[in-house]
Amino acid sequence: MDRAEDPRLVWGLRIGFALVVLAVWQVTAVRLGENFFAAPGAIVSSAVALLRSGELMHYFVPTLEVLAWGFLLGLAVGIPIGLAIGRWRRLYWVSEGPINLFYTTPLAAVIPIILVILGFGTTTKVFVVFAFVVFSVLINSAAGVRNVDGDLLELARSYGSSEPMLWREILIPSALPFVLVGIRIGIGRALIGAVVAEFYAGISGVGYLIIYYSNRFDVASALVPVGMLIALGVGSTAGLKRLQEWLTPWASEARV
Amino acid sequence: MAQIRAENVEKHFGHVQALGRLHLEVETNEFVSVLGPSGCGKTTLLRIVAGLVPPDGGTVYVDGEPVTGPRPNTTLVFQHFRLLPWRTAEDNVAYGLRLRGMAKRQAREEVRPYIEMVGLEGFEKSYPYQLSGGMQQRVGLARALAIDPEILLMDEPFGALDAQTREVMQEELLRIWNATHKTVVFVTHSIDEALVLSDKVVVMAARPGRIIETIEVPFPRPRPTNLRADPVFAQLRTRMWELLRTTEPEETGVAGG
Ligand SMILES: Nc1ncnc2c1ncn2[C@@H]1O[C@H](COP(=O)(O)OP(=O)(O)OP(=O)(O)O)[C@@H](O)[C@H]1O
Ligand SMILES: [Mg+2]
Repeated sequence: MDRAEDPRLVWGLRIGFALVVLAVWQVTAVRLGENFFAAPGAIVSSAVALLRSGELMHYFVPTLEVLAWGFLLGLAVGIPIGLAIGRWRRLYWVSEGPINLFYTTPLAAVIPIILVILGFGTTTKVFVVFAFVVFSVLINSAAGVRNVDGDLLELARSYGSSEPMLWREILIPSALPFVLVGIRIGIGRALIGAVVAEFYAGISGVGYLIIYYSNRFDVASALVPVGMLIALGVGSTAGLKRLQEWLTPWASEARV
Repeated sequence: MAQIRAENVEKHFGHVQALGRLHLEVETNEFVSVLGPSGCGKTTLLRIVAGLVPPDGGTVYVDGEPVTGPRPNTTLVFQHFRLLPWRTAEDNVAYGLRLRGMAKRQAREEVRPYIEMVGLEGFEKSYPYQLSGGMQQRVGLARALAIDPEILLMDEPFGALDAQTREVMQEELLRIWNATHKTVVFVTHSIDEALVLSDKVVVMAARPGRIIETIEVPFPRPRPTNLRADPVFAQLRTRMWELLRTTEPEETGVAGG
């Protein structure tokens, strides 16, 4: 039942489909009027204009900084705490409720409150990204450790493993695929967090750019930063997939 | 003094009585095989002797001390291999040495003879999922032998091997046992294998798991190559066959050697 995929056919179909969608989009947009329905061609020329003027980068770089800091902080806090919660049952019992509570809280709803506390600066934005990222990473890291094969724990015990060696030889490798899933979900949530924070906290970043052009009914220009965010998300997710194949060959290749 | 001494050992799992008042003695440097129908408690017995689970009743003594947990001088070869999926064959074999603080590179050096012994040269860098069941089993075997334990508990260690590899492994095991003076408890479903390898064969029955017969194997060592032609061999073989058949007729999973 295992029919080999012909990559030329796969990519031919993908590109063909994309071209059809773009063509339909272009025609429809032109017919309906470009104010409300930007055509692909218009978006490309807006992108060129925004890049030439330096405006795009001017707004994109601060967003990237916010994303990077919030995301890294989320990993730095979420992974170790998640692993610890996965390992020690008492910690799990205590924290399970609060974590689920925070995870299900609609974070966008509390941003105004965060603004009141942390002010309209970068700190707020970094904190919002952090809050969007940390729980998915934490929950998945904990699940990874909790999912470790009990037989392997017994193996470690029978060979007299120390706690550090248990982490190194069994718990971390076993949890790694889960942690990476948490990170992948975290990337998507970080992007949401960054833009939403900028909508509220304003003045800088691509969130501001999007609002600015939308208010002027320049849909094509508003879509350019959106496209950048999509590219960022897709790119880092693809990179993460590579990383995963490299870090956990047993988990990906075993399924071939 | 017996090196391993199980007294009145009992173990329940819920309503299942896995072991009931079991007695077993194994002398230092003795090779004892355990034969019994599937589910009679062989694995449970080894796990208790290894100190991985406590008995519900009775005590196991090793070197005169009651067993309270895993001990460094005892190693269990698991029935279902239990390799680390994220480690290559050689790193799996080196696992025990690494836990004892040996550096990775040195441990890889140290385990090379064991990898050769089990016939896995060329597969050092393969991950378990790239190995056949029989090869995985040999990795597990090499891992246990590499730390040179005094007491080797083996749970159907050759179960996944083809007949030829199995015979090679039997010879290797006997050679190591002879050279390093180990005490071996060897669980098998093969009567022939038990007779070829052991000083003593204990036959178990199920529900509750207990020893119904202990048979001394009288053949000299090294065992003659034409052992199977010996009339005593045939006699013992028949006796064990009968014992197993009467204990648990529908479940006696006796696999031919
Ligand atoms: N962890 C466990 N939880 C519940 N029941 C168990 C557990 N381990 C063993 N048992 C039960 O105890 C009995 C003995 O099991 P054990 O694995 O020791 O048998 P065995 O002789 O090794 O069988 P086999 O030859 O099939 O490996 C079985 O009825 C089994 O279902
Ligand atoms: Mg068993």
